[in-house]
Amino acid sequence: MNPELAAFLAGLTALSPVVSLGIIPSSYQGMTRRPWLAAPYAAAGSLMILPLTILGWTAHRLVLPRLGLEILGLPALIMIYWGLQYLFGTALRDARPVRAGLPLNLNGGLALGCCLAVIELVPHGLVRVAVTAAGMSAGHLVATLALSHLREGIDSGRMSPLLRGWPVVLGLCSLMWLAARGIGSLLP
Amino acid sequence: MRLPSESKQQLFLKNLLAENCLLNSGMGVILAVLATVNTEQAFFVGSLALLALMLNSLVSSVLSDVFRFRLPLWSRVLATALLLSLLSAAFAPKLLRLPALTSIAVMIISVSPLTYARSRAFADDSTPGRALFDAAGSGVGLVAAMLAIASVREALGSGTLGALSLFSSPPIPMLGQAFGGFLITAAAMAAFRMASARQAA
Repeated sequence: MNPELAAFLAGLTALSPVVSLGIIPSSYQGMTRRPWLAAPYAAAGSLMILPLTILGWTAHRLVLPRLGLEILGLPALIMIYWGLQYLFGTALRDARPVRAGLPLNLNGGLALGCCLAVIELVPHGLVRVAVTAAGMSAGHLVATLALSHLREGIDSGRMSPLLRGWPVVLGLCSLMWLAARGIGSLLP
Repeated sequence: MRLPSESKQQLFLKNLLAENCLLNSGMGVILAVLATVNTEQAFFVGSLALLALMLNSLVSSVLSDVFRFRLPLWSRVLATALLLSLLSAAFAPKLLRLPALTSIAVMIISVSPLTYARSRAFADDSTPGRALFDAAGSGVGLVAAMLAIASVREALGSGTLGALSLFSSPPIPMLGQAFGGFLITAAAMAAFRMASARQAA
């Protein structure tokens, strides 16, 4: 299989941020109650993952080590995040629901976690990094939309109040983890 | 809701038990899933979160109480990120010995709403002493919940608990993966709700 395609599929399944890596933001439960709410939220997260990962990897692997400033890696990532948030916030002025999902407290942990995971797990090659990040970005979108559709049917008034909200979300994530592993095991 | 009449001890206990940030509202769930593979990892990451939480609350409250100045969120995030970078560098050998992705969990503390929730909701309008107890209750509650989740995951996922060997082979090895983090955290939250409902009845 083409290595770039393999990297994309790995990002889509084995490195899917919420489902496979467990990078689940605190806002995830509240924002995935209904598909119409989850779609722009997931789109905002996916939008941030790709450029942040590429720029963050470049800063971490190529720029900061040459300047001897590795210690500033995390603050640099946060500054890049804010830069991208401003950029997308300006560009998406008319797409208010997507813009609302951009702030650090909503999708920051997710995008930063994906970027750090790629920095740690994909050490060489910017193209491989970009393709993996694209896979993760798509994986996040697909997983979140699937989860919100499942939740819409399950997480209703008929369910015990003990399980509503976070327990249902985490239970569904564990089932989707099994599914992602199953699909991932079919890949070469 | 925090009342001015509540003592420091009441604030501490409320955040530790009744309003536990992780089990009650799901704040810091990312740490519960990512950093509870074993108790050593949970204690390490939880302690760093506790430190970040307490420092944020203390600094916010001193600045607002003494200098009547509110620290903007961006400066808190950057200062916390720098602190965690320095701590990660200082504990680099330890991080290498802990399960995969521990360093990511440590870095994520800097952008987690959990780290700033208490300082923004309470410490900005409170005295340093009360802010410190309030943050300590939240942080210790997080560490305790993470340790409880990690104990179950470690015992069933790898058959050990700290230095103790409990089973000859791991009963449910999958609990060592993110799958176990999701499942055990969900079970812990449901158990917490059940206990709260029983206490209220």
